[in-house]
Amino acid sequence: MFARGLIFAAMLFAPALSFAEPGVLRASVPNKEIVQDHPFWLIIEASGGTVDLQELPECDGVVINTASPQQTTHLSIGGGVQRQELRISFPAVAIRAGKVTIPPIQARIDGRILQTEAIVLEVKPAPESDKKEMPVRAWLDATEVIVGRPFWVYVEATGIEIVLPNTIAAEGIEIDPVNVQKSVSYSFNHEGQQMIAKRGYLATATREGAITIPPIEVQVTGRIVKTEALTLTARNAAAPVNPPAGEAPSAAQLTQDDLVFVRMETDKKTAYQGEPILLTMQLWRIQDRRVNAGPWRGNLITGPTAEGFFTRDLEPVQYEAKNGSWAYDVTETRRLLYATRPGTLRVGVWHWEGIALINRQSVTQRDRLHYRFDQGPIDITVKPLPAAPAGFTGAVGSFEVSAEIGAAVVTQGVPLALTIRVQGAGNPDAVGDPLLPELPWATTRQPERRVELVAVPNTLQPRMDKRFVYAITPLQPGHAEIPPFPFVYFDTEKAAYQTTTLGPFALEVTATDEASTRLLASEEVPVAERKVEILAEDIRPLMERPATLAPARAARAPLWFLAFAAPAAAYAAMRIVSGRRRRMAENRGWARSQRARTSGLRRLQDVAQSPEPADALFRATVAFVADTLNLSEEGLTSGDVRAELDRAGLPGDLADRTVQILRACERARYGSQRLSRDEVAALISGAEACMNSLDELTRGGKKTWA
Amino acid sequence: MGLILVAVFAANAFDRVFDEGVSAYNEQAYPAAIVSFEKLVDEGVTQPEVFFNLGNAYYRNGQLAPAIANYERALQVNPGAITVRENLNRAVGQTERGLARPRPPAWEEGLFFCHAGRTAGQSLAVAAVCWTLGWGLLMLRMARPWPYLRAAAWIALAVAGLFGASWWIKSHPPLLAVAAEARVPVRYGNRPGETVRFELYEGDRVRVDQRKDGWMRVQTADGERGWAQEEQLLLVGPPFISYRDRVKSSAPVEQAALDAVGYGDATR
Repeated sequence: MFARGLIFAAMLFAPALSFAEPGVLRASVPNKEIVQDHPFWLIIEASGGTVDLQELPECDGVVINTASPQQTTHLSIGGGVQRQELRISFPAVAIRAGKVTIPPIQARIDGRILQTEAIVLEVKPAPESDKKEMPVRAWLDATEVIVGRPFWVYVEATGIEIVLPNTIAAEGIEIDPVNVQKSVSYSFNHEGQQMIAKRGYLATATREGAITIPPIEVQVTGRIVKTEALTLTARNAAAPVNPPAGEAPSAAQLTQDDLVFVRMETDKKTAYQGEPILLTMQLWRIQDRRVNAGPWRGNLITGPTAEGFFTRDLEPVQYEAKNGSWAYDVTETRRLLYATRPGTLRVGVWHWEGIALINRQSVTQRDRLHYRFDQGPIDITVKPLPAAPAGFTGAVGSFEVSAEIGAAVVTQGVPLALTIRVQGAGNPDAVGDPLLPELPWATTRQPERRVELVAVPNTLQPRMDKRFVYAITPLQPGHAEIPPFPFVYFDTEKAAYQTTTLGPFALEVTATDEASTRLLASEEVPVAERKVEILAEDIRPLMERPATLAPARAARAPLWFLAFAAPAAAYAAMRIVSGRRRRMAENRGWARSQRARTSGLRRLQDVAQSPEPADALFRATVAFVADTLNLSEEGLTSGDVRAELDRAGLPGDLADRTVQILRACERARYGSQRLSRDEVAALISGAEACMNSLDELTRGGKKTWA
Repeated sequence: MGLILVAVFAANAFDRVFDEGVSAYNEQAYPAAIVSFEKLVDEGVTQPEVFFNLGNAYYRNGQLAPAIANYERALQVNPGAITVRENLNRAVGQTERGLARPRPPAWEEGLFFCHAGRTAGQSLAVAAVCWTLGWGLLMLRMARPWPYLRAAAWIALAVAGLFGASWWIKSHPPLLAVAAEARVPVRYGNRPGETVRFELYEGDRVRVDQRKDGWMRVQTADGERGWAQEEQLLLVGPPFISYRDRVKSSAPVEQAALDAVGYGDATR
């Protein structure tokens, strides 16, 4: 016996701190007494930050089931360190008596390989009573079977580790490789755990007579064990399978073929062109609370091909029916076929696939049977219609035809309804409009057609009811008559054309002056009757000419561009203005520099009219420099201005010109000589040029000359 | 002044042609009605009334394909026209199998569920209003910092974006075509010898994915694709090209009517 592959790997992230507890690994067998072939538990306990159990070693004399251990994990966090404590219980069994040793078991805990000590077991021999019990058994669901009909062969084994065969071989039977049932269950007691594996094989007898299935080999807990041989008797299907009269059928007599089956048939194999043929497709499911059957792939809707037929699907029906001694639920899909051409037409194969679930003992123990059925094809011989007489409009079948008029006395200009009704078995779509005679005293519109299919009790085919409603509008007052007119159809029962004469209808048409403009006020008509009856469907009339009829104008792209650009541009402008205002209010120096040129030039304009132009010019120039550089203008001299201009890093020639103007003004202010008008004008001009230059260089409070 | 006079004269001429078409239709001279309305289409008149009446004239003349194509044109210009939709459904119902119109992609139907039935102009107008409202709310917020103004503005701008996208989609509709012959083979490739993949019947509507060397790669409502010859299909547009070379006319009196409106040669 060798141990299986790696069983368990549990990895959890935990910091391996130096003060963490060391890992622990233990192995033990809690059973006080170990008896041969009696299960016991092998328990492995491990704790640490990360635990990785290694492959179990091979044990001589002990079989350990590593496939289905019982496991508990406990996580704990202490001192910032996460630990896990594992307890894994392996079912095991000793297969020989005497001293048996389970070698040391290894695990990687927190990066280190730890191992347990070897466990030495003293195994007692199994009691004599145990040796008589077979751990495997095989049985049949029926010992008498029908050749060709399936039956079940079951094999069941109990042990720690079980390997059942995929199929069985025996002379005289065949095993279905698809329909194999598999089930596994476990039983627990204080000693340990045992597995119960069961497998069912769907077999079919291939010959008559006694058949023996040889012992079936099963591997149980490391040993090969054989079942007992099975015998059965097969007989031919001709032998009676139904119970005698008066006896209730037993479930054992049900075969797979009785549970679910399908049928497809037509109500006739020979028909005239256009005559209705009823195709039925039936799914029979046995009424048994233990059996649940249904379509698996494909279903009733995807029916057979019907090339050459016009088809009309009818509502599916469900009913109960008996087949032999058993009751069934039948789901029937019906389809009407109308042959469109003479000759031999074929209804194709109907393929149906499904499953049936059969509860054997409980809901969890169910047989699952797959079914595949092919029904058909069915050939239909279609006879052509004889040469048609005049007035034949295509109706083929068995019909009753009648006609009636809405009223015998009508008003001129008011439509009168003439209803022609065709009832019976036939294709309603093939029944064409009856040919009305010419009515010179009236106008006649295309008829409105109404079709109904009505189910008829105790018959499979529905009855068609087609009405043609003609709107006849009398144009002249007086006596009028709708002359007799024929309705011709082909009667499939009589195999001949039949003519039914409809009419005549006598009418009295009363004159009216407002025939063409007759209106009813809505107040005169009850609400329920205000809906008009559409006598003939047609397209809606022409539309009126629009007020302006003109070619499509070129795209108004510029206008739309403006419509979309203007709001965004307005928002952007508002943002700029708002930002400027806020800066003006918050940054006084920037605000002074922004206004410096405007206020400076305004002051220069007042210089010429000032009684002391030199003083006014000096003040204006100094004020401009103070505003531009955000200085206090009080007490500024030409020297101070020069120093400030140099400190601001302005070009030297501009500073020189500004200071020259200021000094000229100072000389005039503090000297005895007044400035002439021309000198004042020249100084003003020079100051204006300096202001413009300074403003350009310092616009917006930024130094642009650097 | 001269331009105004020319415009007025042209407008009167369009009205006269329209009225001639209506008169011919009422006199059951459907080919003459068709050429009158087609003349308006030639002149670039794309109002839904013209396409609708043209569709009716083709329908009465027994030509389902151009009738369906013109109803589709009318619906492209005015998707909310119920009357047009009714006539279109009636015409489609008379085709061989009533094939549905190829639907727009699922994402478009999901995202722009609200723009069905609206014209491109309406979508653009809604987008412009929401756009202006969004920016207006942002401007209002600068003056009056009321709560939720910013969120309302962004919502308005998002709606504007959605309707702008709607306008773009409606302005660039998928190119539809209508099968113009009783059976139009659709092949695996764009050569006459290619295997026929499936067939279209007269009046079936398909979406045109690609045009190449006189062939169109078409896609049906259920996603089937293939190549068909251009001459066997009618392009719905835009651009809206006249179908007058496909008018069926046999009666001499109708030919006279065509001559009367100046389009007699078109059907000869």
